[in-house]
Amino acid sequence: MSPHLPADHRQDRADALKTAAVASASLAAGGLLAAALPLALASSPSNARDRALDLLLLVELQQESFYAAAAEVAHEEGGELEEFVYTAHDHERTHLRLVRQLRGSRPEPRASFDFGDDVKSRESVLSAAQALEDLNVATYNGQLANLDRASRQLTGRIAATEARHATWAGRLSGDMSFTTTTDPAFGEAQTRAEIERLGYLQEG
Amino acid sequence: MSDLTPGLNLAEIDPEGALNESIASGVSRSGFLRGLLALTAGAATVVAADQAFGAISRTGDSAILNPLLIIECMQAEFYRRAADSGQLPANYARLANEIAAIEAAHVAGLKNALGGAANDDPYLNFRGTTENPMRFIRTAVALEDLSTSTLAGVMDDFESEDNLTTVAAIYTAEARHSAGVRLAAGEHPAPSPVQKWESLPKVRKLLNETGFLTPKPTTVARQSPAFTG
Repeated sequence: MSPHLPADHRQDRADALKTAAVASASLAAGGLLAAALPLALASSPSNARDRALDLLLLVELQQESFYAAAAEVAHEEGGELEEFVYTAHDHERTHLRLVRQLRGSRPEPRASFDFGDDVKSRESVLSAAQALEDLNVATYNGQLANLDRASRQLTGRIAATEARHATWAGRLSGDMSFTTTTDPAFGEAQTRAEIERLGYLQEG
Repeated sequence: MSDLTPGLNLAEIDPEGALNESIASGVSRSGFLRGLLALTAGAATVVAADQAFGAISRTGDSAILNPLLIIECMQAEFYRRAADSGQLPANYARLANEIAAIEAAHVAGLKNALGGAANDDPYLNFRGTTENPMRFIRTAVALEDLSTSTLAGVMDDFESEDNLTTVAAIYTAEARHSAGVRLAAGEHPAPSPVQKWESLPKVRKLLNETGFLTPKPTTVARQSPAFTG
């Protein structure tokens, strides 16, 4: 596999224009950017779109934090693990930026994460990565219907990349099979239960 | 999806020319006949795609679901024929067998969503790509990329929440296939931070260019049968 990543400049530019338009609309409706608030204060928006985007932000924050924390062991291991972790981290930073643009100016949930031993070895990193990617796919699929059409199109494209990451992590773990006929769609309660089960979230 | 410039062409989903090669390989390797066949296949498959995309003039979700059904039928049949060919190494045959079963389930799911509005299954000719290992895996990559890009392009178009949920569940499974076959082919499994998308008119054009869709077979009676009763 080539270590370099082909850039998709045309679609990046188009995405930027589209998300900028959506973000501008959100800014016009929502007012000025606010400082981060504790999760408990920021997690009860009144409409379905806002709740959905808050949940997507939370799972993206968790993933981005995970790959940042896994970078050290990935660098030590080198090779395929390093390529996977660095590539996924780069993608998650993009996803985080896009979800933030879609959310607009509303106060952002404040959250921190502790991944403990799950970022200490190749095996634990790949296992945790698969669990997190699967969670994000299910969360995106479950929230699509709560989003407006412009947000739905972009978040769907993010979800597909999360699915690619999940398969990639699985292959590096030695799982060569194709077994997923359809992906699940998690409601908010299911996603929050899975986040709790994983145990990484340390609320701010 | 009309506000963004479509992002794919056949060369991008088929960088090594597997699909173009498949169009040309059926009759002759000579340049002249290859060009002639490509022209012939192009003309024939325009008709085939018109038959397969018959719901394009319909409105609502069936106008989206029917093209998706054609692509899923194509994939299911491609992998099934490859798995049954007996010409692939064990790892490719297993891959083909596993994905064939999943694609068949996707076909069933889309037909269920469409009900009586489902188009007939397309007629297909894979032009030797299901028997040759190298051409098989390259074509699998191209088809999975096309499928995933097509699904990415329609996610904001559904009127029914049920249809959206059904297709979303298929969409991310297709992205998993794409990553898996890309890895099997030695290609990058996640080449961009967000999935590329394609518009349905462009997909129709790309499908024409594969040459895999063939016109419905017809028979013409040259004369009336002799009465033997």
